[in-house]
Amino acid sequence: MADSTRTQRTPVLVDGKALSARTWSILSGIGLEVYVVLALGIVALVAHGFNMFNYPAYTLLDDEGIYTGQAWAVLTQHRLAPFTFIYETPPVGWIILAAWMGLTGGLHTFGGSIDSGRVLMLILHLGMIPMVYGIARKLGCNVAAAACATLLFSLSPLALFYQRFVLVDTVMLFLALLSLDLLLDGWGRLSRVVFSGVCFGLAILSKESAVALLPGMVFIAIQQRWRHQGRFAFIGWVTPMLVVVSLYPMYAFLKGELFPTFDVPLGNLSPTRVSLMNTLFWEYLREGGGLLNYSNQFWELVRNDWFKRDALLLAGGAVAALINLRRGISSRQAMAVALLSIGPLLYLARGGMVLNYQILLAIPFLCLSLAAVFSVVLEKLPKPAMVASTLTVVVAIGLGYWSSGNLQPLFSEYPVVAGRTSTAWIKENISPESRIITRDDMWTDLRAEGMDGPAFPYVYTHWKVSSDPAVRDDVFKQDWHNVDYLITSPNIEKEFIASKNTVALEALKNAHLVKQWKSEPGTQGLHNQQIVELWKVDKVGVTETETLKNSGKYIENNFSQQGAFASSDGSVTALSQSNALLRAVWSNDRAGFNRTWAWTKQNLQNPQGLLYWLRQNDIITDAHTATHADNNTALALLLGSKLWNDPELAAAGTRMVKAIWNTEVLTIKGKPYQVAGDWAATGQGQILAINPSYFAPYAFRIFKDVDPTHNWQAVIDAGYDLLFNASKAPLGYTLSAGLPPDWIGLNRYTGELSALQLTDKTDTTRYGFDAPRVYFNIALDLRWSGDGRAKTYLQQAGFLKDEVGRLLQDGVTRKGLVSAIYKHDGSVVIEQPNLVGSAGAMAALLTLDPGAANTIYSSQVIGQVGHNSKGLYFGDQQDLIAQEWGWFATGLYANRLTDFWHNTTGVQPVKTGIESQGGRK
Amino acid sequence: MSISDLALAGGSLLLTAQSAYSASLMLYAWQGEDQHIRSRAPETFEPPELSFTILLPARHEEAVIQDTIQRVVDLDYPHELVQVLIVIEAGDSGTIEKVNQKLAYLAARGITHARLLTFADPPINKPHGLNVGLQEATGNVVTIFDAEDEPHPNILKMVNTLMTREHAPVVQSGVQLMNYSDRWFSALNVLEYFFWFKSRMHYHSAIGMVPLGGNTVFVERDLLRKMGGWDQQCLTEDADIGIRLSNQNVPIRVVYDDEYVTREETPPTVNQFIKQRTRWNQGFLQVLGKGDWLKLPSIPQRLLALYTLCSPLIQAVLTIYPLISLWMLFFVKLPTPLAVLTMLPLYMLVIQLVISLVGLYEFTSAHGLKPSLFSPIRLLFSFLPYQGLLGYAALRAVFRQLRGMNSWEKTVHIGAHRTTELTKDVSTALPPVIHISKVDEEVVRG
Repeated sequence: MADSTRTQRTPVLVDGKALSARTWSILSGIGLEVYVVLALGIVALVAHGFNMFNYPAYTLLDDEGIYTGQAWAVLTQHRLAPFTFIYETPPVGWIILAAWMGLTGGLHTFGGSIDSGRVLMLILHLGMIPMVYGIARKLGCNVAAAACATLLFSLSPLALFYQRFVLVDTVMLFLALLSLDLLLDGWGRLSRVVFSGVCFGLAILSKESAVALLPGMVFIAIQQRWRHQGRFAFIGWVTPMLVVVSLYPMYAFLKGELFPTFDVPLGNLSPTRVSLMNTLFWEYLREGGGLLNYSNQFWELVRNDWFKRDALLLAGGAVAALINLRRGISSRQAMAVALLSIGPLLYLARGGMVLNYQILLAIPFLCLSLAAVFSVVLEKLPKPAMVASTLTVVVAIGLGYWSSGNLQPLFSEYPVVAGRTSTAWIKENISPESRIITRDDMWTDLRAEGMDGPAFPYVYTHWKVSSDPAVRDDVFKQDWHNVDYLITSPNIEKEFIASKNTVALEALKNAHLVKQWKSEPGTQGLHNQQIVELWKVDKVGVTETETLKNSGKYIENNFSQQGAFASSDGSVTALSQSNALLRAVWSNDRAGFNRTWAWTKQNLQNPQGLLYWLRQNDIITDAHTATHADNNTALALLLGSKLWNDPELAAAGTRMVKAIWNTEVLTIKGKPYQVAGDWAATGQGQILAINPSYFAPYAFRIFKDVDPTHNWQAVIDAGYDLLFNASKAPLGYTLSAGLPPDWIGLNRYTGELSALQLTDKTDTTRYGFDAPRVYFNIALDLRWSGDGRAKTYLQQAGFLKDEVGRLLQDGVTRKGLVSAIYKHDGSVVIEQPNLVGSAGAMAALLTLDPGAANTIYSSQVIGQVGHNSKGLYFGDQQDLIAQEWGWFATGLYANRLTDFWHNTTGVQPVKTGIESQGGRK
Repeated sequence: MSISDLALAGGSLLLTAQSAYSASLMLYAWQGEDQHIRSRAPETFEPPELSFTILLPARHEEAVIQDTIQRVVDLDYPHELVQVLIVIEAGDSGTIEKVNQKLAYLAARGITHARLLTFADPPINKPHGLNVGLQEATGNVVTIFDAEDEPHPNILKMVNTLMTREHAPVVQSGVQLMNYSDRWFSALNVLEYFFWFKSRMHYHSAIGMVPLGGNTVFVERDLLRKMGGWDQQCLTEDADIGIRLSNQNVPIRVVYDDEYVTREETPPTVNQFIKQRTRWNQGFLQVLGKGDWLKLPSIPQRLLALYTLCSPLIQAVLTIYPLISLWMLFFVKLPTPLAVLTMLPLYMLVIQLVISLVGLYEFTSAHGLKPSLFSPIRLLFSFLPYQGLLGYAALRAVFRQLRGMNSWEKTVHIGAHRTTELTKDVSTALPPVIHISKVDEEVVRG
C-alpha cells in the first residue's frame, strides 16, 4: 500500500478532470451543472414535500413513532430512550432528530411530532440531491447520467414512499453519502478524509446497516489515497470512523451493559438485564433462511412490496450493479459503484429479520449503478443522440411511474386522517391521568404536552408493556386492571400474542370500543386501510372521576345562572333543578346545592311545598307539578341532610314527601299509585296518567322513614306491579318487546292498564325519551336495596341485549348500541341513539349483560364526550338533558350515586359497575 | 448537573479540543498538496549569490567539535562566500584546544574561512555566544549549527536558492533526530522532531508566528542586528527570536525536505531528556512571561503564540487529567453521558498513538530506514511512559518557574548529542542587549 501510494501523484478514482464535478464548484461556480442541480432540487422538493404530512400514514409503521419518542426523551429527559434503552438501534439518528426539534422550537412546530420529523427528512433528502449528483459525477458519470440518477432517487415511488417516513435510515444515508462525497474530494485534503471517516462512523451509529457499505467505502478509501497524504490517507479515514463507532460500545461499557449477561443462551434477550452484545447476537442470529431461501423475508418483500412499488429501480439497479461488477475488472470507478450497490443487497438478502423500509439503504446506490451503466451507453452515442436518448428515457420512466399508479397516491391520498384525528380526540377528551397502552406512532404526541392538549404521563407502547420489566412489572404489575385504555388497530391482537403481552391481551379482552377512526381506503392497495381504535377497559377509574368532575363543571358553567339550570330556550324545569340538587349531593358540593335550592325554593316552590313544572322569562308558565321532579328534590334534600347533617334540609325534605303523598299519590283498588303530577290526580276522567319512569323506589324507601304515617312500601309494591304489567302488556300492539312505555293509563275504577291517550295524539306506549329512565331507576334501586323485583325486572331487558348484539346488514358488524326510540313491539322509530336511551340501556344491561353494558358505556357515553373551555360535555353541547344523563350514567357506572341516607360514612369506596351488579343487600 | 459535573464536562471537552487541534497540527503537512509541495526543497539551485556566516557555538564539546568543523567547512558552497565562526567561552580550554588544532589542520590545507571567537564575561550561554558571533559576522545571512549537527552538504545552496527566489529574509530548515531505535524513548523523541519540523512549523509559518529552532535557521544579518540579536537571559532564545521576528511581520520560510534536514541525536539518558525538556518548557514559560507575543499583529497569531507557549502548562494538566478521569471512572458514579465525555481525552491519546505509529513508518520511509518488526511494538509500550516523561518534565518546569529556579542544570555530555545546553546562569544575567565586550579573542590563521 505504502509504495503504491508514494508513486501515485493523484488517486485513481477522482483525478484532476473530476475537479469540475466537485460540489463546491457546483455551488460556487457558474454553468450548466448549477442549474441542473437546482432543477433537481426543485423537483425533489415538490416530489418529496407535497402531501408529505398526509401520505404515507404514520400509523403504517411503528418506527416513526419509536424514533420521535426517543428524540423526545433526548430533548426533554436527556436520556436515549423514554423507557429502558436496549440497544436495538444506535442513537445518533434520533439525537439529530432531537437537535432538529430543539432548534425548531419543539416537537410540534410543524404539527405532530412525526410531522416535524418529516420536515427533517425532507431537508435531508434535499441535502442528498447535490451529493448523489456529485458522487455520480465523481465516479465517472456524465452530466446526463448523473442527473438521471438523482431524478430517479427523488421520483421513484419506492424511494419517495419510504423516504418520507421519519426513519434513522435516512439520517444514516445522508451521513454515508456525505462521507462518500467527502472521500471523493477532488483536492485530496486530509481533513476531508478525516471528516469523511467521522461521518461514516456517525452513519453506522445512526443505523448499523451502514456496515453494508463498508466494503465499497474501504475500497474507495484505499483507491482514493493521494501521494501527499502518505500513510495517513487510509488510516485518516479508518481511525476516526472506528473512534466514533467505538463510542457506542463505550457508552454501553460505562453503563455496565456491554458484555453478554450469560443468563440466557446466546441469541436471546435476557428478561432482566440489558446488554449490547446480547441485543446484537439476538438481532443477527435470528433465523431467516439465507440468500437462496426464496421464502425468507427479503424475497417476500421483493415480491409483495418493493417490486410492486418500483420494479425498474430494484431489478434494473441490481442488473446494473452486476454489469458494473463485470466492468469493475478494468474500471475501478465501476467497481466502487458495484461494491456500494451489491453490499446493501447482500446485507438485506442475508436472511434474518428484514423490514420493508430497509430498502432505503440500497436506493441511492442502485440509482448510481443504473447511472454508471447509462453513462457508458450514452458515451457511445453522438451528442444529439445523447440528448434525445436522455430525454426519451426520462419521459419514459416518468410515464411508466405515472401509469403504474404508484405515484399518484403520494400526492392525493390522506391515509393519515385516522391517526391524526384520533390523537386529537384522545388528547382533548381522555383524562391525562389514564394509563394507556398505545401504538408506537401515537405515543410521542400523547406523552408530550402540546397539540392543544396535556401530556399523558402514563401512556406506554404495547411493546414496552410486553418486554420492559420497568413497565410491565413496575407500572402495570402484570395486571390488566391497571390499564384504563388501549389504542389499537385491527389485528393488533396478533402482535400482543406474538410478544406474549398478557397485560394488553387481558386488558383488550376486558375492554370495549369507545371510538373508531378510519381513513379512506387507499385506491391502489399499496397499504391497508388505516384504522385506529380506542378501547376502554371495563373498570372504574380515573376516567369516571374526571368525567363526573368536568361534566358537572360544564353543566354549571353552561346552564346555570345563580342556581337556575336553564335549557337553551331559557326555560327552567323542576326536573332540571331536582337533577342539579341530586348531582350536588352526590358530588358533595354543598355550595352548589345551597345555591340551587335557594333559587328553587324561591322561584318554583308552590304553597304545598311541591315544585311548579316550568318557569320561563321569570314567569311560571306551567304551574302543575311533575312527580319525578318532586321525588328527586325530596330525595336530594333528605340525602343532603344526612351528608351535611342539616336538620333544615331534613325538615324541608320531609315536608315535601308529605306533600307528594297528599298531592300525587292516589289509591286505586286499595293500592297507592304515584301519578304523573297534581294534574293527573285531579283530572276528572277515568284514566289516570302514570309515567313509569317517575317510579323511584330507591327514594320511596327513604320517604317511608321520614313519613311513617303513609304506606310508602305499598307505593313501591304497586309501582313494581304496574311496571311488570305495563312492560308485558301489548298496549295495542300484537306483542310487547318487554320494554316499559313512556306513559300508561290506569283506570281509576278498575285498576286496569291501557295505552294512554294524550291530546297531542303521540304514541305514548313507545320506549321513547322517558321510558329508558325506568331502567336507571330500577338499577339504582337494585344497587341500594337489592330488591329481587328490581333484579328480575332488569333481567327481562333481553330486547336491549339483543339490540346491542344484533348483526348489521354486512353480516359481521354488530349494532353495539340501542336506538333512541322504539315502538312498544320493538320496532325502531328513531335509529340515532341519544344519551337518555344509552344511559337507560346501560343501566339495564349492567345486570343482564355487563359486556353489552360496557359496550354502550364505552362507545355511547365516554365515546360521546367532547371538551371545551367550560368543561366536558356529552353529545350536543347545548342539550342540558344529554349532559344530565351523561353524568347520571357515569355516576351509576362508577357507583358514585351513594345512598347517604343509609350509608353515613361519606363517599363510598369505588366499585366497578360490574363488581357491584349484585347490589347491596 | 452539579458544578463539579459541569467542570468535568468542560475540562474534558477542552482537553479533547486541544488534543484534536494538536493532532491537526501534527498532520498539517499531509493535509493538502500545496502544503506538501511547499515544504519540499527546490529541485534546482540558483547560482551562489548570498554570503553566509555560520555560527558554531560550543561548550565542552571536545569529542565532536573537530568533526563538526570539518562538516561545516565541507559544505558545498564557494568558500569565499562562507564565514565560519566557532564561539566558545574562554574558560573552556579543552574545546578551545581542539578547535585550534582543527583550525591549524585546515589552514595547512588552505582552508581559512573558519575562525574561533571566545568570550569571558557572563552570562556564559549560547545566546551570549551567538551575539558575540553576530558582532563579527560578515555574511549577508547568519546561521547556526550546533556542535553535534550533521548539516546536509547542499544546505547553503538550497537556502541561497530559497532566499533569492522568494526574497525570504528568514529560513528555517528541518532538524531531525535520527537514532530512533537507540533507547526506549528515542522513537517518540524522534517523531516529535519529525512532526514539529515537517508539519507543525509550516502551520506556524502560515499563521505568521514561528518559534524558531535552535539551529539550521538562516536570518539576514542586518535584520538580526536590527532586532538586537538574541536574548541572553532566555532559556529558549531560538523561540524568542522567532516570536520577535513575527512581531515585525517578518515572513519566515520553513522548509523540511527529508533529504536536507540537519541530523541530530536524542539525549542519551532519561535524565538528560528530562533536563532538556524541562529547560525548553521553562524557556517557553519565560517567553510567555515576557509578553512579546502580545504585540503580535493579529489575533490568530497571538492565540497561536499563547497556545504554543502555554504547551508546558497544557502538558502538565494532560498528565494529571487521565489519572483523574480514570479514578472517577472507577470510583465515582457519573451520569453515563458525562462518563463518555471524560473518556474523550483518553480517546485522543489513542489517536495520538496511532498518528505516532503511522508517523514512525513515514519517518523511516522518508529517510530510507527499515524499521524492525519490534519498532512499532516498542513504540506502543513506550507511548504512555513517554507521555509520563513529558508530563513530569512539564510539571517540573512549571514548578521551577514558579519557584524562580532559572539556573542551568548541569548535564553530562557523552559525545554525539545535542549541545545547545550551554551552561547558563541567568540569575545574574544582564539586560537583553548585545554584550559586545570581546575578551581573549583569538584568531588563528594557518
